[in-house]
Amino acid sequence: MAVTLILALLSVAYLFQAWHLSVGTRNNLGPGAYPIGLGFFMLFCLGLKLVKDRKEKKTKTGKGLAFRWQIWMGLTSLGYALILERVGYLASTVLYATVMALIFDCTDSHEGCMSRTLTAQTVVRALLTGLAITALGYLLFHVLFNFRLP
Amino acid sequence: MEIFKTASVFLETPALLYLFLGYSIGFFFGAVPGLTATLAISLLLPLTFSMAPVTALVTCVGIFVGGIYGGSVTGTLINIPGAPASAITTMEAYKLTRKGQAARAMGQGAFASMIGGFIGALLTLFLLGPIAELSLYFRTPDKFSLVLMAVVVAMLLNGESLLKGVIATGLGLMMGSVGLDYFSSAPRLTFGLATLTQGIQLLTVVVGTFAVSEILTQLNVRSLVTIDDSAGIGKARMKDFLPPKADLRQIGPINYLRSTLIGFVTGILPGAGASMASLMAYSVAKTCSKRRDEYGEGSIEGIAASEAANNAMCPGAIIPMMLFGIPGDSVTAIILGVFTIHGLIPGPLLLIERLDLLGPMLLAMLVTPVLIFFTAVLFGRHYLRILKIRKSFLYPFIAMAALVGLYAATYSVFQMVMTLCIGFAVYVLKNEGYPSVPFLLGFILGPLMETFFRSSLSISSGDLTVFLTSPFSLAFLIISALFLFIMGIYLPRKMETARRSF
Repeated sequence: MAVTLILALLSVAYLFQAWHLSVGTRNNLGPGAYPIGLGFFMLFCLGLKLVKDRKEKKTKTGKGLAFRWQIWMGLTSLGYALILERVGYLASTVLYATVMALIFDCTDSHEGCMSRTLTAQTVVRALLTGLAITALGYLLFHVLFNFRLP
Repeated sequence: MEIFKTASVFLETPALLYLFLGYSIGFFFGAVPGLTATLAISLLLPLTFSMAPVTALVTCVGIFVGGIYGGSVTGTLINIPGAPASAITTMEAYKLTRKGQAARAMGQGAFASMIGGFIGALLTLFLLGPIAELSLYFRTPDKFSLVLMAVVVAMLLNGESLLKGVIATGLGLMMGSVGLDYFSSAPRLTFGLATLTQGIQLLTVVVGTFAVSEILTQLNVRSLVTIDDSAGIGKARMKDFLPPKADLRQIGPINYLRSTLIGFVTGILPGAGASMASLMAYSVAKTCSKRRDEYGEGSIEGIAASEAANNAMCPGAIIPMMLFGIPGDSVTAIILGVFTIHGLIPGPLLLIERLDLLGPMLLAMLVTPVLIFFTAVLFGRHYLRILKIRKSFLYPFIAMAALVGLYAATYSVFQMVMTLCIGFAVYVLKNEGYPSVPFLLGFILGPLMETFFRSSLSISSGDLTVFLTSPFSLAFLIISALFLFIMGIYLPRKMETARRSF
């Protein structure tokens, strides 16, 4: 239900933006005609979906714990995207790949993420993984494909 | 003469090497559960900027075909299909593995893949010319109706719910409309962001939809605890992978050919994909078989039907992409991105003007299926080792390659942030059961559909009947309406009735 509502809000915002564009005439349609039609179509479909959601009254089981790691990964990746140009490829990628390796190591743990303590061995392994990934990335992008890395 | 010229380009450039490399990458991504050929090719997309067009296209073909076959290997050996398209093969092949016949199942899978892929590629070679000639007669209203048909099929053939497929396609259409208007060059739907004026790049959408969202999904999936060779595949000999004559007789040429044709035609349909091809071919093979009781218990006929169909789908999906810019599935949608990067505009003239580039690609489609069979015979007993790679190395590497690849191709931090946002949104939508393929197809087809619609109305002075007076356009509209009726009304009602009576 929440996702349908968010999509409906997005469609309203889209329609609002399109509303200010010229619709044109029938033999010379303006830039607004297609988005306005599409916006109304989406609102109609999402309206149907809302009605369906209400009928089904789904009780969703939360994916709280797993979702927490998705947010961590999202924030780490966002941080990487923001520092890549400023810090440069080598330092930022070692840091990013190490943190990502730690996240995946933790989520892959069969004892469960929360019960696992971060040992020095885990951190060293993640750091080695980070270094290996950075080196591989450098070989791939800079040496093999001749891309200019920051 | 043209064939010899094409073959010489194919052999002169390091195309064969790239083909093998692409096949190996595709096979690896197909075989590891959670990784797909779509993900492999979306990671490759930024790299193709610095590749020669021939090598880029040939590598794409290798990944495409390798990914489809790779998925069935883990399905056969450990009952976990590496890719959704291998679910049907897994159902039958793993039963044979349990009976100690893993090499037989893998060998037959590879052989049927070779037959399906090879005949599918031959059909593509023979049909491309006539279809291209026919498409020269298509006027703008016909093109609109064709794209509309593709959008309708993409909406209907994906996902667990029809409405979710429609909404996912609609989201793609919405995203595709952002940026400069094609006719007036006016910026639209940019929400005040100057960086959106040029529109959202296909590369950004592809990396977000298939790489970022997949990595997020994999955070919920744990690795296999142990990977033991209970199937005994490590001890198999090369000759064990060669299909025995008795199996070939039992399956028969009709089964191979029929499944190939089903796969090929399914490939041409936008958004249908390999899963549908293999399911349809399997169902038909079961209906026509004299040994129906063996199906579900390790049927060699079922494996052959499924594998021949899903590999014949690959060359089939290339046709609408090359001639009309309409991708047959998610992988061809990304290959379309490679076309765009190298300035290749899909259409019938492409075949005439750039045969030097497309010829090697088509030849690669003929060679790769043969590669499947020979690599299975030579290296089949080592395939299980692929699964031993650590997840905490694999996914961080994929995440880095996706982001750095995108940056290297666009030199834009904004595109990186954008791809993360798209990836997160697609992840949430996928968790809610919204399919991602119609979203991508909507994004690609939306601008085409709008352009053809507006041009058609301009040409006809606003007369909407222009779409009904042309025979091609009318035919496409009727097919769209039929699809809408069968998939949207008739089949859901029938399924609902069956569910209630059950």
